[in-house]
Amino acid sequence: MSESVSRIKTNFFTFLYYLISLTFSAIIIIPIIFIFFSSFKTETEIFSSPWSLPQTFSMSTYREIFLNYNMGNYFINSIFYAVTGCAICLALTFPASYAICRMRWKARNIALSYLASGLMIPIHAILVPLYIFVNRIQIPNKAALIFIYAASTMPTALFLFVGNLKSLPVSIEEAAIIDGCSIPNLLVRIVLPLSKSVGASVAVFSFLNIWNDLMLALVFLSNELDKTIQVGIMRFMDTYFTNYGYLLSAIIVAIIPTILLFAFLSKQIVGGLTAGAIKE
Amino acid sequence: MDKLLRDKKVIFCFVAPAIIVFSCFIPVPLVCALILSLCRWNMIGDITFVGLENYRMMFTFDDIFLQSMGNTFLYLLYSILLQIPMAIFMAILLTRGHRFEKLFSNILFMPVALSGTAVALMFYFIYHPTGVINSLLEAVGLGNWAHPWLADESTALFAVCVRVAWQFIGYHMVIYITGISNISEDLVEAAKIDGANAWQTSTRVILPLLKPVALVSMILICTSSLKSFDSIFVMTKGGPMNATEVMASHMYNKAFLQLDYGYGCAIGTILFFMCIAITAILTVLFRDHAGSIKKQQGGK
Repeated sequence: MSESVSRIKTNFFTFLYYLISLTFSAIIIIPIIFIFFSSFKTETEIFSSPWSLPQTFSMSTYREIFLNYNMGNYFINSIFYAVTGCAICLALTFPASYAICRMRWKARNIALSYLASGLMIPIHAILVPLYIFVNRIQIPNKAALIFIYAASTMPTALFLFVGNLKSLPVSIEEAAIIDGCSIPNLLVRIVLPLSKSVGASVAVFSFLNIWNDLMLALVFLSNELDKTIQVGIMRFMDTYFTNYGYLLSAIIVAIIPTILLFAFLSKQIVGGLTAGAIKE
Repeated sequence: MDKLLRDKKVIFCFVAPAIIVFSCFIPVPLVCALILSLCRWNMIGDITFVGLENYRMMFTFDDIFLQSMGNTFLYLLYSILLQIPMAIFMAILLTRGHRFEKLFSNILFMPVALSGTAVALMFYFIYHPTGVINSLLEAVGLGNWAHPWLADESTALFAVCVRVAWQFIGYHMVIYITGISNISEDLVEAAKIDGANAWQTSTRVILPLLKPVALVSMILICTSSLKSFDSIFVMTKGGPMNATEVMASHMYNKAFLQLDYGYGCAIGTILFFMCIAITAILTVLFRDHAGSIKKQQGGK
């Protein structure tokens, strides 16, 4: 008797679990699917029949935003900033983390806290001086922006690399050194292969942060041809007249790559994006 | 070996580039910002040192600043209320060993990776006066609830916070999931053996042990709310009637639209100190609490 009661109870809780989880997933997914389908509709269809499927899957708005509104250009720019910024960040923090974690020098803890202090500094607080700097000394805004991006993701990257090094056994490195391996060689041949997974997390973190940034790109990129996708898609929204067909297609172009990336690399993305929060 | 690891040249080559790039683009500008915030400057004229004048102006004359500060705190409050309880609830629900937990948590996390601008534009469309929400309300017979969500002073800020919650609940949920999976199985088992039901294990055993991750999640939600800019800038531009003006957007307007650099720096500086203050306050609050729990346990 009591067994069947407890079974009903378990079934009921399992049912609740599915109900809540599915509802929640629907709240996340439906808006995206909705925007996706709406983006194929005509301007009038978008508002007159919001819930039906598009009558014809017209790609005309997509063609338009790529041909006449520089969308392809924005896209390539974003990839360029994200890849170079991410590469610089990795190239600078990886050796630094090794020196801080493994090598023997007095100021290493100071260096670590100094670099980590960047986590506490909101980009807003330094935006104006950076802007004045860059304009005064006439470095090309694009180059400056890449370095700002790299610098702003460095503290988290360093944290991740240092955490990873702490978890690696020193014995492998010791053996290599005794066998006559130089430190730079050791870094490339032994430590780098062992840091692949954390390196992937760092890369994803830094790439997505740069890809998704709006404020810095807004301030530093005034030239139409240099703009990133996040600044670019803003042009399709206008207070007085918005072409919703263009706007929705642009949104889809901006989020589809991330969604695809997430479908394949969900583990690295979850790890990379929460890594700053969860140190272990 | 020791000699190799003490090689000053190698250490220098490894650390110096990172330190130099970081210093040039983060701490040095910060110091400049602190100094500039004490000056009046609009790019054309000379820089004049005015002491704390900018700050005095901010708190006595600039009504929009005071309002933006109030809005920022309201935004912070809404964000906490909309996100944290739901995140903890979902985290507990998704760590009970059911099927498809990983899948559900991935779906909930997915929006975090999306760009804030695109999501804000998405919701700008959803909140449109003749858009989805309103047509949905009409369809279920609640037509008189239909509302120009973003154009109404009383709902605009909350609407923005709902969009932020949609994107970031999953983030905090994953933080709590990590926290829960770090709690040792034995404790939960012991509670079950002692006759605790699911509700009791959740509230009496799991929740108190989540304090350390709760601290992290609270710090993140507070600092990110103070810094919020993207969704406001995209969805409302601070309007209607400054009802959604937050500190970051006000700073942007002052510095880059009205070209009042000194004043913009002063707002940025206030923001910086607020982030530090809130982190410190939260750390103290949560540390004390954890301490008293330990004491209680020790006492018993």
